[in-house]
Amino acid sequence: MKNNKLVKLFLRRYAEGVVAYCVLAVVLVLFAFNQADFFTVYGPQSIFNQVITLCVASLGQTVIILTSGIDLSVGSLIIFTNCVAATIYMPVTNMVGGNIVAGGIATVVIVLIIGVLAGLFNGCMVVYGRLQPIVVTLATGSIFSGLARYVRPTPGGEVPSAFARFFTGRVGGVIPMSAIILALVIVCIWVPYRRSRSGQALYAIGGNEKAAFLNGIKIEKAKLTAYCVAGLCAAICGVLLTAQTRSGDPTAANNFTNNSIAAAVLGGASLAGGKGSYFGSIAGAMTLSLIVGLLIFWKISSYYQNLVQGIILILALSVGFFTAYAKQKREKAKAIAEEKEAA
Amino acid sequence: MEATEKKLDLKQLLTSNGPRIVLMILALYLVSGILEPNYLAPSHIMSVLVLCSFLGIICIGQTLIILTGGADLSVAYSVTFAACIFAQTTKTTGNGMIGFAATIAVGILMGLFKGIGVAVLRITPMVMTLATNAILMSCTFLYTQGVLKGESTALVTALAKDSFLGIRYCVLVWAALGILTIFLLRKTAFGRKIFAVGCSSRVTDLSAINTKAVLIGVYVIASVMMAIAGILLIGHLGYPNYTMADDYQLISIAAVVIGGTSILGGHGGYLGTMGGVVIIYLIQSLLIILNMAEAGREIVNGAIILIILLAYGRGKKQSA
Repeated sequence: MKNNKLVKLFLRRYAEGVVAYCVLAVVLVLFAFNQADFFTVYGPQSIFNQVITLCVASLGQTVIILTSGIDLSVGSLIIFTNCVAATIYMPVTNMVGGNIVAGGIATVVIVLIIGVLAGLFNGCMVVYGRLQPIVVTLATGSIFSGLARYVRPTPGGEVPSAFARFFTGRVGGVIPMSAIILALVIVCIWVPYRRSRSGQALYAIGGNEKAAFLNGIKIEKAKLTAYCVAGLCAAICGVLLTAQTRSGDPTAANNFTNNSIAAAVLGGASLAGGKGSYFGSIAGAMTLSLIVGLLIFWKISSYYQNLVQGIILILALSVGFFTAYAKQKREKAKAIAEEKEAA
Repeated sequence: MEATEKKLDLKQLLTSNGPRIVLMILALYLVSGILEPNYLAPSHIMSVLVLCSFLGIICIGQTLIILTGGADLSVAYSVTFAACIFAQTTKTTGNGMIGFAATIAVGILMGLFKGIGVAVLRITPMVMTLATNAILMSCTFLYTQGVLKGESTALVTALAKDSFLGIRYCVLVWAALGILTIFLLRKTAFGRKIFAVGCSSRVTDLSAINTKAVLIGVYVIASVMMAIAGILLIGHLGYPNYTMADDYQLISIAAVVIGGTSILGGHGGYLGTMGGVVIIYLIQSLLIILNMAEAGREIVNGAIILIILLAYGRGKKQSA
């Protein structure tokens, strides 16, 4: 009985993400047919390695979207942290005595702190500067990408292969590390944050900021925390990107900003705020990144990649319109039938 | 009594939008003139204005869309796609007018697509334009098959490079379109409806204003403006280029907001945006005088936009 209630609560809370899971299921089935080693240990490993960066980036984006903001600086921040990680790895390792494990840990900690500080800067501009998030992150995005070029004027940097193997490999020969990291991000960052006072406040602020304020919710603190969490997620994504590419590239064309927004929205988040969850955003992010893989399997020109992503986004968002339209039509037909009966 | 009134007027004058933008432009212009006396010459002013004209025409679209409470994130490939259509159609047909007609037609189609998505399917403008940008990016690559064909025609090059009484034609085009936009916004029913929709689309719905038509109209005008900017940019660059409009995405929003239009919609106008466009390029030319590397330019550019916004773009403090 209690279990039933929990399931209902779960479904109600995450109803918006269901569309994304339907699309994801289709994509995964197609993957299973096309990828020869889908059912071996390599299948999940390659899938999680493909989706992990966008998943983490879209989690950060979701937090901001919940406050009815939007973060246009995510992509630049990811590239900035990526460049910092690739540049400082070896110097830091030498500083801690040449041990690449200790050096790696120190690098990751430094990069995560940079990410949180960058997020805090965004947050301060929004909260204390009282500016709109879209214009703040527009400007800070330019600042972060300038900083990335400053840290790493040319693509490169040195990252030990062990670091790359650790983040992209498997634990115990079976479970992909990327899957564990994604689980850790959800369990250690999202869930505690969502259950904290600030995390609960996010939904209230996004729903109606004025009402939230009048009810004594600490809006400033909640927003500052939200931007810090978003910065942290971007930095984690930067670290993972460093592990995958083993270098930092300030000029890399990156779609993280656009795709993270698309993933969150595909997962049921509303740009008006107050709606969205990790559950949906992850499905959205997985769908968007796996479609690229599918097109490669089918030997479809990469020119179609953006087209397919864009159309899926528009179709997923139109579902609400078409269901409402169908309902309206049914009701109209019913009303006409009733009128006829009455006559 | 009279004195206090005058004082109030002065204070109001300094804090209202127009004079503030004029003062900022003058200050930036003087600073760059002091650092590099050549910059005071009319020829340099004209070359800054030429750069402004492309962004300015793009910003006509961006201003209208932001006034309705949206934001267009598809600037980059709306402009690039239109430019590619113009160059390639002109090359294959050998007739610039057919190329022009095709480009405008594509502009209208792009606008209808975005407008229907926003107005009828009720997709948030930012997401709709984001998705449209991705689709247009694919369209550009599919249409050109990865090889850019075509180049500027004599007429279009003349528009961007030749001048009339010392004023380049593209600046004149910008001025003409700008005046039309200001007239549209201030004096026509359609223009007033744009403001009304931006303030509250629910109220316009209830006031028997055809909100959907207004929105679709705005997106069509905006996309046609971006198509025109694409054609002029080809005249400036000589040939199309896949990354020719990437930089315009962010600065087009920045220029509109610096120009005093509220990103929430409903307040602002195009005259301010014109000032914002000039400010953006004066900052960039100032940074070039300071001989800053690209890294430094990006950082300072972002910082200056933030400072300008902090100076007057702030919202109200939350209060009970």
